[in-house]
Amino acid sequence: MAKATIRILRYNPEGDAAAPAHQDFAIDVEPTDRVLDALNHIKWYVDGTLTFRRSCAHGICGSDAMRINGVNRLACKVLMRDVGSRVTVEPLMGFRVIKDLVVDMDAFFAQYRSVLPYLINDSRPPERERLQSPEDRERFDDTTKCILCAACTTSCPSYWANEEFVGPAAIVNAHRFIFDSRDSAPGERLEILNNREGVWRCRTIFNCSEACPREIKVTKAIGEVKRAILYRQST
Amino acid sequence: MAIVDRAKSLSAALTYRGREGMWTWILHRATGLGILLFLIIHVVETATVIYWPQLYEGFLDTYKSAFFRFAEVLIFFSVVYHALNGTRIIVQDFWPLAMRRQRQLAWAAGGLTVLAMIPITFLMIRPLLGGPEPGEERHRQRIERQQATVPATTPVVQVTP
Repeated sequence: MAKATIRILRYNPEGDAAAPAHQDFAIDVEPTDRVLDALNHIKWYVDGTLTFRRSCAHGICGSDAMRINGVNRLACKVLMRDVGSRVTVEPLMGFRVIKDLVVDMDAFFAQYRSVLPYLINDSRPPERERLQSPEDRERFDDTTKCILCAACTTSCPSYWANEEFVGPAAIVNAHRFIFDSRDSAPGERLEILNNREGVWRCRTIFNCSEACPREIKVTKAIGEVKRAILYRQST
Repeated sequence: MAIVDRAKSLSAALTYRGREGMWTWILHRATGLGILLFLIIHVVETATVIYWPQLYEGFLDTYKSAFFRFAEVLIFFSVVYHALNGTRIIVQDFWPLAMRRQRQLAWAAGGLTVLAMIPITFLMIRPLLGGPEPGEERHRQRIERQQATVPATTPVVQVTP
């Protein structure tokens, strides 16, 4: 057991404070505890009003993305021994804060839906599955890993500056179908992303790639979509 | 329901602990704006040579002060860095595989800039330490060469109007 101070940026919409403020919690933690365990400890034993999202707690549901020591991480994938005895936990930047660490993700999911993130193929379904070669499957393997936690989109300076920007997460999910040989509508998605709020707002800053808890090469995927738009227009 | 609006200020953005990509982006922006500012000053200042030649001479003298010599070094740095980092971004854009080494490439652009700036800074700051003006010696040699190629006995052609 070791002492740790967890500094949390809190905001209560029903309280008197107009702006979010930091609050420190001194608790005992194991080095192998995750930041999520520390938050749970605070909520269960110290202050039940602390509000945050979490679900599977094993890095796959994408609920507990937050800013830990200044950088976007999943609270369930960061060990206390890796962040030191003083940890600052803040809500994701660029989204409106609803309460404490809970942010409003409606716009994020609307942008995700805007890129048609599902298989489009109007041809008659074959008797068995639509076959695909391992090479064709490999083409978009990286972008299938996205869990929609929004760590990438809320690490993006272009998104902070302009919430109309479709954001890295939506482009990653468009990439997943644009380069799928079984899909018949990559052109439609490229058209959507060629919009002024589409891929061209990306300035290759790489914050998204550094933030992704699934280690998706987000900026590279965006680069491939940019190139696909460019080469499609030049032919 | 009261909700806190999204942070939009530069100071809020700078609290994000981004890595090489974020800092090179900020530096790329800053150097780009620096070059733009320089160009505006430069155009205005050069325009005075037509209307107020004395003023222009005054400008040139001002640029020889220590402050402006260091400012000129900064301009040179901005141009070199913006060019090299811009090349890095273009390479990454057309060859996304290069993005696997984005951190190293960012350091390479910065490193090459520093390397280039060592002799450049030396040459530009030397006049402050009593050294020659950059280009002055070459200018003198060129004038000498021109005079040497013109024979002294060449008859002067009189052009009558």
